[in-house]
Amino acid sequence: MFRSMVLAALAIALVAGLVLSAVQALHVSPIIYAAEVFEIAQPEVTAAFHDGHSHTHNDDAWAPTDGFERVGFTILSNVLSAFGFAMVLLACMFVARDKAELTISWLNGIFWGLAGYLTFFVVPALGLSPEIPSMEAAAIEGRQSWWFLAVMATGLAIASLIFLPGITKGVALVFIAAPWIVGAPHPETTGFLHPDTQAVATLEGLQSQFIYATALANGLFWIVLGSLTGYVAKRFIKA
Amino acid sequence: MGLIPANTNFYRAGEHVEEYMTMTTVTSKANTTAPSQVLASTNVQIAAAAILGMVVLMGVGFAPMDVAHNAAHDTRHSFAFPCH
Repeated sequence: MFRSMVLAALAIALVAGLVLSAVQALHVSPIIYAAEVFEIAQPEVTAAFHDGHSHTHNDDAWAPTDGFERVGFTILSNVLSAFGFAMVLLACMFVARDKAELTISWLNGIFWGLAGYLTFFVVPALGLSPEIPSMEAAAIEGRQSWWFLAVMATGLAIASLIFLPGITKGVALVFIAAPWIVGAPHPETTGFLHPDTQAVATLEGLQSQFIYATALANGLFWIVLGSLTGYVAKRFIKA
Repeated sequence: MGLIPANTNFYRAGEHVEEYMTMTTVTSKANTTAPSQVLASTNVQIAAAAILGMVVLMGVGFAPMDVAHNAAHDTRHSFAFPCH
């Protein structure tokens, strides 16, 4: 069963990862590239304001060259991420089938996809809005911890609704509230520290575009991933 | 010479063991394994699948090495994983 799950997830990841890559290339990456121009233009400012920022990047480290190589690595990363999400989704579908008698189908897969979208994108993004390069943010460790908390709590809330009987489903409320009681970490100075006000205005415009672009790209990705996973799990995995 | 067929690699002990083990598994699945054992094995495989998925996601989305960050940079931003 494990073997067929891996093979199924690879096939699903290839399709969903390429769909994401196409939407990303058209609507998401151009915003990242545009914002990066300002990131490179302000090294002193970045260095001066990043005290206590324990995560620094070494400029000498290998990076894919812009163009074909960079897009290639992005597509590979998309497919690998899609594989990871598909494996998690497959596991969830089978557990829900065995423990809560939820049928597996492409239609139910769409709901699983929406659950994944909520868990891995919507709820974390409500606390930590999708960032473009050169945007000020709290220390990476704090943001990653909160991201994990938001994902786990949302996942547990959905699991409570599916698996717990009757009124005990109410436990979900505790999980929904938990990340907000803790609170997402925010930097002391928000926005952009670029010295040029014109540049800041441009970056702010890019930032709001980026939120819509990622929300749409991720939504589409999860619906494709969910329905495909439901279809493949029903059709090709025997267990 | 006449006792052992030329194509039998009887000296490869592993093969015998492997053959024996395969046969045992098949027999036990067909006849003796209790349903609870099959279920346990299914649960282990489902858990293993979830863990593998999460490990891959951690690698792509959260590995702190510069090389991993640079290669997956645009993906991390697109999924709104905390980055930089």
